[in-house]
Formats: sequence, structure tokens, C-alpha cells
Amino acid sequence: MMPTPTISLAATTHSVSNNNNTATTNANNKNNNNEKINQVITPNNHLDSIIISTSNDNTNGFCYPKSVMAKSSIVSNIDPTNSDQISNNDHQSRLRRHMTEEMNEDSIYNVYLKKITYTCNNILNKQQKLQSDNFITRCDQVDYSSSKNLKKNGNNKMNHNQQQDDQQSLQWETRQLRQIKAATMEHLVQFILLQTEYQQQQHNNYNESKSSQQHHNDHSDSDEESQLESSDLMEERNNVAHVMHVLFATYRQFYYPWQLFTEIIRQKPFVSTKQFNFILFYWLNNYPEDFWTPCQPSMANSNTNYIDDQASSHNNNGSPENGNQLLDDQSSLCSEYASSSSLSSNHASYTTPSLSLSSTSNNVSNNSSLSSTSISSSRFSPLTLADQLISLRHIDEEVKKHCLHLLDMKKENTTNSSTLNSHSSIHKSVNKSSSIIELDPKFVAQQLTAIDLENFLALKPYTLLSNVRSKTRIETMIRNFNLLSRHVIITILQHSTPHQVTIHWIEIAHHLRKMRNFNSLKAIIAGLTNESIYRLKTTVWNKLPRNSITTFQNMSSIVDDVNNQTMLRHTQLFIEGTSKVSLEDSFGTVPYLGTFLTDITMINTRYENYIKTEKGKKLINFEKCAKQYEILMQMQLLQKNAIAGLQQQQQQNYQHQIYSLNHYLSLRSQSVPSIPRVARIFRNWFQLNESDLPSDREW
Amino acid sequence: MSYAYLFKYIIIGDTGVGKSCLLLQFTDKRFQPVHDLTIGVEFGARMITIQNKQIKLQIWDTAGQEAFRSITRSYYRGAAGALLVYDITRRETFNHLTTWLEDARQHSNSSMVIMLIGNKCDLESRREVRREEGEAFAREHGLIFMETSAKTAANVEEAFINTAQEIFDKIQEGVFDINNEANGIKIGPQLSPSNQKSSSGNQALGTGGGCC
Repeated sequence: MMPTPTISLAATTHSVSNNNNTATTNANNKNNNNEKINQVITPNNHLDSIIISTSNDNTNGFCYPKSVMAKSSIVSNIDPTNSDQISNNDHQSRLRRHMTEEMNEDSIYNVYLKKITYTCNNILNKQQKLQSDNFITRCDQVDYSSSKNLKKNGNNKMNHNQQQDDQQSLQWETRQLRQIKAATMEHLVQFILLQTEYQQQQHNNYNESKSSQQHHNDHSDSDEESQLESSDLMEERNNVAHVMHVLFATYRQFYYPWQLFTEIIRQKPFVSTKQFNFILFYWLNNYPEDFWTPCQPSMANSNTNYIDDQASSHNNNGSPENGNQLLDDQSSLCSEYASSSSLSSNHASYTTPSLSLSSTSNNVSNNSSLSSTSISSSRFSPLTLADQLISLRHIDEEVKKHCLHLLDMKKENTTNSSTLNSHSSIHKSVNKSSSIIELDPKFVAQQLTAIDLENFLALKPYTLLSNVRSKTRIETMIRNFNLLSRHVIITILQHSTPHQVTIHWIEIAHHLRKMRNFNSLKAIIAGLTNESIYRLKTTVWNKLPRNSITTFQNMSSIVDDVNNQTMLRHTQLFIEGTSKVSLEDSFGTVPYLGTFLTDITMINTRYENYIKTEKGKKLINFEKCAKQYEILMQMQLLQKNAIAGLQQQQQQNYQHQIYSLNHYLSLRSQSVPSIPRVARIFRNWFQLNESDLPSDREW
Repeated sequence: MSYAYLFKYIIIGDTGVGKSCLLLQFTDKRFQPVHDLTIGVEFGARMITIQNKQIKLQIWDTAGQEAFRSITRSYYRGAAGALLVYDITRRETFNHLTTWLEDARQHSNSSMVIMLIGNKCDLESRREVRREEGEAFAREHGLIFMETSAKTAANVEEAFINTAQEIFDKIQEGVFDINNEANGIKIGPQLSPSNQKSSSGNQALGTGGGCC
């Protein structure tokens, strides 16, 4: 068995911690090792069952702690030369090794040993070296360093000179990394709330060592100490943040929102309020739509004391069954409420007017009264998670306020969108009956991009994980894609001079490439390469001017399927995905969704949803979730970049055919920039009657 | 690694018939590092041996993109072999075979070898398409036929290798013009016998058979 490679996680961890820095993509993979090492440091060292006693007789520079070897259930010890993939991967496996799996009752952790090499030309400056050095010694329960004569903390404080000497002789270190491989929902929630037994122990140990260290510190060290503490804490936060990101992005495959919500609330009495609120804020900000879904069924008729009671009884019985009901039917679950419009009908049993709180609902009037009255009307049965959240007594007012704020915003947006939709005006220059050839290619490309961008930005990345896509933006985008391809074919075949229309479409494709709209670009190329067009050698292709042919070939090669669409992936994610938006040509990258869908399919095929423990307990395969999240994050990255680009444009008052159209991000909490108004002719393209849609697998 | 020939395969069929599962079952045996699961040139590639010749199979799979009706020409272009997959527990996936086949025939060269695969034959109790129906369809359209289970790996090796064998035979017969890369066959960098590994060709099985 090969070890899981370092790279991916390195990139993830890092970019998670730099959410604002859009440039940190998986491109980090290409960073040099030194940098990577500094990025991937998980704070935790496992103490209760594993004690590292270093051995000097290692061959590859790795310390294999003997006590661990004896204890571990799986020890993978691969000879790197064995692998026929002698490449980066091999190099990575030298840096990090899967050492063991730590099996617990409700969780499985992967434990890695990571080699951290200090080279002479290390980029790290002395100060940083000092920090990392200190960090290791300070975790005094794990003696990494017997070979290097670093003393345990508190025993013998070394003076400054001694420390420096040690650094110079310090060639490498090993550090233990611990990552969740699988766990119950309860454990995951405890983890993000810093509430697992291990974390608690760490916390206590840390406090102890801190106090003992402070005792021995002289004044000159105290500055370092404070810096040290912050970097240490940051690392810990990164690890927790990663689990948090992954959990909230992927949990819908296993649980309804109310189940996760109940689990979090249940932990409330045991956790720090700060972390608890942080988690709730994160959830509200990033997935507000979860809170418009129905709350726990049994809650609908009981008062709010129920949850308090449940929480207080938590200590006695480990896991409540109501929150742990495992759901195998992931597809229906996921999509069901992603398309929130279906909620009211699905949960008709507790329908009241206020339940129709859904993003696509037209019942604006019904919604309007809800948020203002919900606090006072807590005697009514809570219906959505938002209602429940607001009605819970022990939740901070700030969280509630925020939730109300989101509700209001949602209401506003719903109102806006309905009014905006009702009188969508036609662009002056476009006659409804205009033939494609009369329209300026750049204008067409802009309009197509506006439509795509609207859909793409409103798309919730996690809906990619669902197999059922009805009523999601993904479905809309796929439908539009197919319609556009069909439109290309029809316009060419219907025209008296098909080659001129072809030239026109190639020109449009060229503009789409400049605007980084890979979705429509691929749709047009797909239309042009459809057999019905492609075979028109004499009437079309032989009549094209050379430059059109060249452009066509260039455009085709971008969206080509060759090598698992490497070219397309590379272009849309690495070259264009994160580069600065040029104001003239682009609104932001719109990717072709297909590659994401394929990647998700492969991951879903490759990994099981659950891992069973020896006792037959089903644990959520968190490794799978982390892999899925990597893909979702790529999409998120492009979305963020596009939004940033649009905001930039707005700031610069770029008014060329831009109108205010704010409804497309109905639930986003941040202020939304505008995208160009879409002329009706283009809307008409994509709003054909169902009868006009191509029959299955045909044009 | 040196190889005598490189064959390009494509896998086609409805959503959920197990295309990606077939591919991963065949190529992922060595437990490639997970990061390379989907990205990279070597994705979906594997070496096999037929008649003492190393053959590299490069398998293209766009599982997950079925809803995009317009599979681009480049997907089909230059494929030497195609696995046309349906799910024996879902009749409709069998009914769609004709459309897929038309698509494939339209976009690819005429000598492409097509293997019809009835997947999920481990789920005998839920079977909706009889084995004989699959055989009849294959006979009618001149395809090779096999029932597989990507889950238990039954017949998966055989499906890929028998297809390769068929292509290989066609090359020997001169049906495939190996100098024309549009046929989906590339000659390896080192075709001279001295450089080839002399492993036995026992992987190349002659006949297709059911697994259940």
C-alpha cells in the first residue's frame, strides 16, 4: 500500500488558512519542499497511546518509534525503490510516511511521520528556525530529540548560545501528524469544537508546559515566547479549520442539516462559547440555505427545553441515536434541499405559511412577516433551523442577530429578484428576431458569459456531490450547454451561407476564450465538431479562411479531451483561474463543469462512504470527504475570483453594458457586484419549452 | 516504460452503469497515490502483455459528464477500442445502447473494436437484462460481449485484455493501419525485439465468458 501523498493536503491546509489569498491554489504543489514543510504542520501529537522514543538507527532518515511499531495495527513500510512511479510521488513519500492507524471507538486517525529537513540554504531566517525549534522542544511529552541532546523543557533551560549551536547541527526532525481518516458525526463535531479527549489533553498539557516554561524564561525570551504561542495556536486552528471546511461542505451526503445542527447544539454545554459561536457563524455565513431547511421533526411539536435536556444528559450516554441515523441514500438527500423550492411540498406534514421560506419561492408575502416576529413568536413550533436557532435560549444574541440579518437579506433578495424578473428589458440594439450573424461576436460572447456567470456564481459547489441534480444550477448549466451546442448547429444548418455562420461562431468562441468562459467555449466547439457540421467539408470547412481554421484549431485544443482533459484543467484552473481579471475582456473565469463532475465521480467510485470498525460501527469516511472537498474548493476558488473581479469592475465604474442585476446571488451575505444585463434574445435561447428540448441523447 | 503499441480506449454508456468503477478496477490496482486519481497524463493507463509484446492501454473515461450530450469529437477520435457498458439491473441502460453505438460509429473510425459489457453481474437477483439478450445484441452489431462485475473484479481484466487482443489481431491482419495515428494505435518508442521484456502472454485470454 502506498502512502497517501502529502501534496494535496499540504495545499489544502495552506489555502484554507488563506481564504482571502486567491493565488494559493493547488499550484502550491509545485512549491519547493522547504515551503511545504512549513505549511503542513499539524499541531497535535498523540499522547495517550503513542509515545515516541526516537531511534538513531534509521536508514532513510526516519525515526520509526519502536513502541509505535509494536502497537500499531497497520505499519506500512515501503521500499521507495519498489514503486514503479519514480517521480514526485516518491519524493513526497520520503517526506511523509504513513506510520499507523489509530483505531478508536468512534474514530480512526491516520498517523504520519513527517520528516522536516533543515538545509544550509534554508529560506527560513534564524528567527523562524528558532521558533520551530522551540515548538518541538516545548511539546515536551514527545521527545523528538534525544539524538540531538535537546533537553526536555523545564528540566534544564538552555542558554541562547547552546540553542544556536544545536540549530546549526540540526539536520532534520520528524514530526507526527494525525489526521482523521474516519469518524462518527459526533466525533467530528467534537473535533471542530475542540472537544475530543485528545484535544482536551493537549490543551491541558500545553497550559502546563506554558506555565513551566514561563517560569524559566528570562526577559529576553519572552518576546519569542509570545510569537511562538501564536504560531502554535495558528497551526492548531488550521487543522481544525480544515476539518470544519470539509465537514460543512460534505456532510449532506450523510445527514440532514437538522441532524448536524442538533449534534452541535448538544455539545454546547461542554465547549467554549467562543468556539461554539465561531462554528455557528461559519455555518450561517457559508451555508445559510441550510438554515431554511426544516428542523428536527420531533422538534416541531415540542418546546425548546428538549434540546437543553438532551444536552445535559449527554455525558451519561455517549451517542444519541436520533442524530446518528445513518443515511445511505445520499443522492436524494443532497439534492432535496439544495433545490429548496421542493421543501414545502416534501415536508407538508408541518406546513404553515412561514415554511415557504425558500430561495426560489415566489411567496414573498408569506415570508415577509417571519423574521420580525420569530423571536416573539417562539411559542409557535419552530419550523426551520433558523427558527429553532433563534428560539433556543442559550444561544448568544449575536448569533441570533446574525441569523435574523441573513433572513432579512434573503427576503430582500427574493423581493428584488421577483421585481427585476418581471420587467427584464431588452437591450436596445437587439431585435428579437436578429439572426446570430447580425450580432457583434463580442457582444454575443459577453451575453453568453453573463448568463453563465449568473448560474455559476449562484451554484453551490456541494451540489456537485449529489447524483440527483434536478432544480440545481448545475442542471441549468448543463441544459444551457446542450442548448447552446444545439443552437450552433441549427444556426449553421439553417443559414443559406453556413460557412459564414461558422466563421461567426468561431469568432464568438475566440472572444469567449479571451473572457475565460470555458463553459460556453466548449459548448460551441462541441457544436462545431458535431458530426452534422463536421462532415460539411465543401460547404463549410473548405470555405473558411486560414485564420478562422487556425483559431478553431486553437480553441479546440483547449477543450480537447486528450489526456483526461489536461489542457482544459490546466488552462482554466492554473493559468486563468486565478490570474488577475483584465477589465477589458473578462468578468471572471467560468469553468466547464464536466471535469469537476468526472473528478467527483472518480472519487465517489474509489472511496467507500463508510468504514466499519471492528465492532461494526459505521464511521463516515472522512478521507473521502477531504478528497471531495479538494474538488469543491477548486470551484469555490474560481467563484471567489470571479466575484472579486466583478467587484473590481464595479469599483472602477466600468459601465460598458453593465446594469444592476443583483438577484443572481440571492443568498450571499457579501455585497454582490453587478454583471451585464442579458438581452431577451439570449434568454430566449435558454428558456425554450420543454417540448423544444432535445430528446434523450439527441439534438 | 517501453511498449510496443499504445492503444487508446474509450468507455461509453449511461450514467451509473459503472464505467468509472471498471476503469479504476482495471488501472488502480497498484493503489496509485490518490492525488493522481484524476489528474495527470498517466491517469487511466496500464501496461498489459499480449503475445510477448508490451502494450500500453490508455483508457479515456468521461464518467460524470454524460449529461453533456455533446461529447466532443476528440473523445472518440483515434480510439482503437471502445467499451460500451450497460447495467444488467437496469433495462433502460440496455435500451440506450443503440444511441451510444450510433454515436460511436459516427465519430470513430470503422475498424474500432467495440466490446459490449453487461456490468454488475454480481447482482444476479436484480437482473433485468438476460445474458442472452446481451449476446444477441452483440451478435447483431458485430461486437464482442462479456458480462462483468466491476465490484468483484470478475471478468474486468478479460474485458480489457480481450479487446486488446482483438485489436492486436486486426493489426496482424493488416486491418489497422498502424502508421495512421487516427486509428488510435501508436507504435511504441522501442519496437525492436531486443528491448522487449519477455514476459509471457498468459494474460491474453482468447474467449469471452460470463462471470456468473
